[in-house]
Amino acid sequence: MSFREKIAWLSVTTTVIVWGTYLAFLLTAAQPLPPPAQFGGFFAAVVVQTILVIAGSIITAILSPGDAGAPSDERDKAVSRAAYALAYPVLLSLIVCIAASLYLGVDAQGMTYEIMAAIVIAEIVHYGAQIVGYRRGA
Amino acid sequence: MAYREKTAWLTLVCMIVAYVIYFSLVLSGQVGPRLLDIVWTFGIVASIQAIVVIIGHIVLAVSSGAEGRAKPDERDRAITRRGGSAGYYVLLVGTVMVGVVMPFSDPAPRIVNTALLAIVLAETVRHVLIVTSYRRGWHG
Repeated sequence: MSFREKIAWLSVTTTVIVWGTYLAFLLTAAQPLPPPAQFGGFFAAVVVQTILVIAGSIITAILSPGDAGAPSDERDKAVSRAAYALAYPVLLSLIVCIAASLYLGVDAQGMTYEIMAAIVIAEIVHYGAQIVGYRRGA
Repeated sequence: MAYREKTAWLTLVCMIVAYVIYFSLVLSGQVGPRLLDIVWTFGIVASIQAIVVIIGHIVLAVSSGAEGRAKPDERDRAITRRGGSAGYYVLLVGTVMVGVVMPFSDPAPRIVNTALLAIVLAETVRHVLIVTSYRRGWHG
């Protein structure tokens, strides 16, 4: 498995764990969190995920120093672009649905949950497409 | 100019014209706050844009002959993906703005229109990158 595929696995795993935990916490809270707490939670989740990915990348790089030092080749770039190009319409479609949901009775609180879920889904699609791209030898 | 570059220009120009008109109407207060008002106005603008783009594509395909009927090659696909990649970043930032910042400070119509603006900006960036990639002879 190449270094960049390992990083894609690491990213999708941390995305599911960190954002899954955060969304589960929000949805199971006895009372809706006030906006400052939600902002704080959002940025804390971003920071935690970033730290996990950086720490995981360092460990992966130490374990396979040859791969980690190599710059992105044409295949890496192609896989990355293909993954973003796949995640883009997913995120776009979800945003349209979320905007429409405001008029179906979803409040501001619900909208933030929907948006965060949309970002998480799009990121999972993005990293998933990267993994599939590497697995298929694109 | 290659057929696909022409279609990218066509889509970009139509999109800019259509959504400058739509957001001008929104900013001048001529679009009401109800969902029906936004859907109605946006629907008309988007439909006219889609019709013009479809007709333009047909005209370009007919006038380009065999090139217009050819499937996208590797370079075309790489350029399309490059555009999608850039659009994703823009849309992601717009999504965070709309979903994390605005729900607690802005009314629903403004949130909806900002979400539409984020989509339009992402699509504009995507098409600008496609056009500039063809212009600069980017090969992936």
